[in-house]
Amino acid sequence: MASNRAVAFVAASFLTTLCLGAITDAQSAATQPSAPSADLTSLSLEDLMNVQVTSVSLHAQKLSEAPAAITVIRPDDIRDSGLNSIPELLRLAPGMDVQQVNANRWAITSRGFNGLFADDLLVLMDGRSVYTLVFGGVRWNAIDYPLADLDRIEVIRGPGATVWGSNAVNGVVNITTKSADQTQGLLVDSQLSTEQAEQSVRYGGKIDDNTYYRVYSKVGYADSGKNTDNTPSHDEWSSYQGGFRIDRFASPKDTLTLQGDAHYQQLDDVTNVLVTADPRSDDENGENILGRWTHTDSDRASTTLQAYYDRNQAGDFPANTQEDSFDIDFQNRLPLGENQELTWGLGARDTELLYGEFFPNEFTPSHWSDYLYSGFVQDQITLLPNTLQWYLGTKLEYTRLTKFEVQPGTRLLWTPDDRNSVWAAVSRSLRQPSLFQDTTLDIGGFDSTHGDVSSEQLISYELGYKVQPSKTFTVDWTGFYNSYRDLISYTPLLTPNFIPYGVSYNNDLSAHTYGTEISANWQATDAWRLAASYSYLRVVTSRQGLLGPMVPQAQISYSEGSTPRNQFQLHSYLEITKNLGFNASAYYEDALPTINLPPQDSQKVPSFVRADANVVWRPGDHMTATTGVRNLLQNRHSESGNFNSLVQNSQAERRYFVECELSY
Amino acid sequence: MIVAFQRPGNCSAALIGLVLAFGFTADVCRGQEPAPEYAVKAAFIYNFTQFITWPADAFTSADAPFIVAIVGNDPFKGAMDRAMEGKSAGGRPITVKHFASADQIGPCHLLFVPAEMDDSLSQIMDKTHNHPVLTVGESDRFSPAGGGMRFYIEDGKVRFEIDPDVIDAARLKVSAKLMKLARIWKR
Repeated sequence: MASNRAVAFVAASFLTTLCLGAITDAQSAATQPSAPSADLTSLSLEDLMNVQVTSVSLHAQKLSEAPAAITVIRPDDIRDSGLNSIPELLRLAPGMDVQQVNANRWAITSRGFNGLFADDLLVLMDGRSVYTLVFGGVRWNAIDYPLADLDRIEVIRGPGATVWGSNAVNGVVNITTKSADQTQGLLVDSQLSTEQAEQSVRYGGKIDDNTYYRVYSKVGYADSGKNTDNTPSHDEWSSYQGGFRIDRFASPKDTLTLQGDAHYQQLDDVTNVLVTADPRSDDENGENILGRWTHTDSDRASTTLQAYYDRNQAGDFPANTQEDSFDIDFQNRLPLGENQELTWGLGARDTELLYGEFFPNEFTPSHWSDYLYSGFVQDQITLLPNTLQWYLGTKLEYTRLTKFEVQPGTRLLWTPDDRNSVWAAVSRSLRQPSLFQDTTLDIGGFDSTHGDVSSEQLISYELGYKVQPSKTFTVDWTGFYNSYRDLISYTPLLTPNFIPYGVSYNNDLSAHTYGTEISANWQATDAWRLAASYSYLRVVTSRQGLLGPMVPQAQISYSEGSTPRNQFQLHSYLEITKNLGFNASAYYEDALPTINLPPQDSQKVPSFVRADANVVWRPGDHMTATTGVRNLLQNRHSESGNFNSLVQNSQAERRYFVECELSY
Repeated sequence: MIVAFQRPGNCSAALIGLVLAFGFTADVCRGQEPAPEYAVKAAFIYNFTQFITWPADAFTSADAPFIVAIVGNDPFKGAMDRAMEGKSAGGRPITVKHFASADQIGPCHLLFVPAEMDDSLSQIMDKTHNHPVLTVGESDRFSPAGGGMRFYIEDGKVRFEIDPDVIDAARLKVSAKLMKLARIWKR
């Protein structure tokens, strides 16, 4: 079986690389200088740039100047968290609701309305949008990369519409990978756990003094989990991914980048629709290529031109889909006098979708397409130097579906001194209807139709305060009030005998949400850092319009209950010695209520506390070994209810893992 | 289904054992640890003296030494003196001087300004302005105040930025090799 071979391969190469690591480490010890301070002067400039320094100030957060609820997850955070996938890492940002639905599916959102098809989060991978128009959401299983080569993950809660455009209603996740000159040499990262095996291999080199490249591959496999009744959940997956990146420093001001990836995955799950629960196996494949030119005149002036092509094929129940996107984007930032900085951009994207139906075993591909022209402008005005900044901007979009749409926003940032900063924002954002919501699909007699579906709207009011009372302690607080209109509901169509024969999409829900997110960071001693965060969210949904009263109560309850009300997390990072660290995390998630939504009754998801711990060991420059446990306190728990998806959810299990990262 | 994964205890215990065994081998042979921040900065400053050219009139005579100076309390705790011992720049021996405060700044070629000297920045810039002196700092206010080069930390590593206009005004020439690694800071 392919999966057996995959695991055997990973296990064998894991052990081989361990041996190689130990042997070469021992050999190179003879030729490498150790590092008393005088000998550092014998290192080349490039080598000096790679030396890790120890300093308390590293972890004390510098007061951020962004007028937004933003959390940046950096390589150190990734290594110390013991988490091994990008969806998991998003837990580290407060206000993000990350629910593992089964071994290969996630429901992730910020500030409410979670679900397998959660559609309000814009996710970018090196500038490429991984938001699919098929179901208006993110394919989390397709977002993967050797974690050691990630530069940062920026999580912005709240509307990013003004700069990033529509579909960034509740937040933006911006993932960037390191440039090729930062990932030189060989890196092998192997991970084995009680549920999964994964291995990445990357090699980076130089074509000439100004051109750097890397190539990588990542292979993974996970076995099936368990349902609440201990039966196997049939949610295995296997994944093969590879890619490259080339960066050329053409001049001191110009950088050219070319990158591409391809992934092939097989994902199993159990469908939830109609009467039977059927185990299925989906193939999901994707390929992309992206080119970018950046011209930097100074700290205040730069230009970027980017183009990419992205193809994704998936078996999305109830249809097979192939989605091709072509995108081109231009951005320019320039100072306008002493007190203003203008950023503006233009973009165009074309999406072609081919889709065909799963059953009754006929493949008659239909074609759906959408184009998007966009422009945005943002002015940053310094009202009082170093003290008061005002941001004013708007995005203007034109699509085939929704014609002209305007998404303005404004923010104010006040920094009275270098310990305090206050910001406030008002923005309008929109979410386009997805393929499923725009099209009539006929699946074995089950109809999906739509009224005149238009974009969902949000007006958001936010306030934030960041304070750094001492060099070792920072607190970041955000509060928000969101007012939603024209949310798309799906109303079951019933025969006169009340038998459902289809579903109809209409814009007849409105909602308001409010909440708060707080995070704090404390460098307690030179070697011990603590971080904590808390978020609170209330969702109130109501019906609107003529068809509103037909929306079933279950759907109201669903939209109010899909995200837990309270979430809390605490992290401890302890440096036992310079080479050994012990990290522990605890997460508390509130319960999700019981909701009765056809075709199956959902289960209440009780509240839970999850505890993780890991030990990180760096015996030398070339090796990092991590071992730990996830879900220390319980054998398994549910994170997501059955109610919101076509796929049956399974439970997140306790996992022991070992990881070894070798680099040369 | 893989049998090994059904017995997590045995499997991961064995793996942990393997990792530890190999890890110990590696540890015995190698002892490199992360370096102290100021030792790295001192090494960078040595490199600056090698890859930047000072005008001839910056020196009083053909065998006048190259003077690296620190103003205020010495954050290097001797690391700078150790780094420069026995070294030379442009054929001239490097000597390290310590100036207790901004008004005691005397002739020098490279002046390091520690972060705690923020309040004296304008005084320091007045003294070095119009002289062929490379000012190197580390605080956030250093570059806006007119500093030539500044260290900052990113991802646990030391990086530096250059203000090319200030360098030009001091009649210093930075080699392309150093420029390529620097972040450019513009007013």
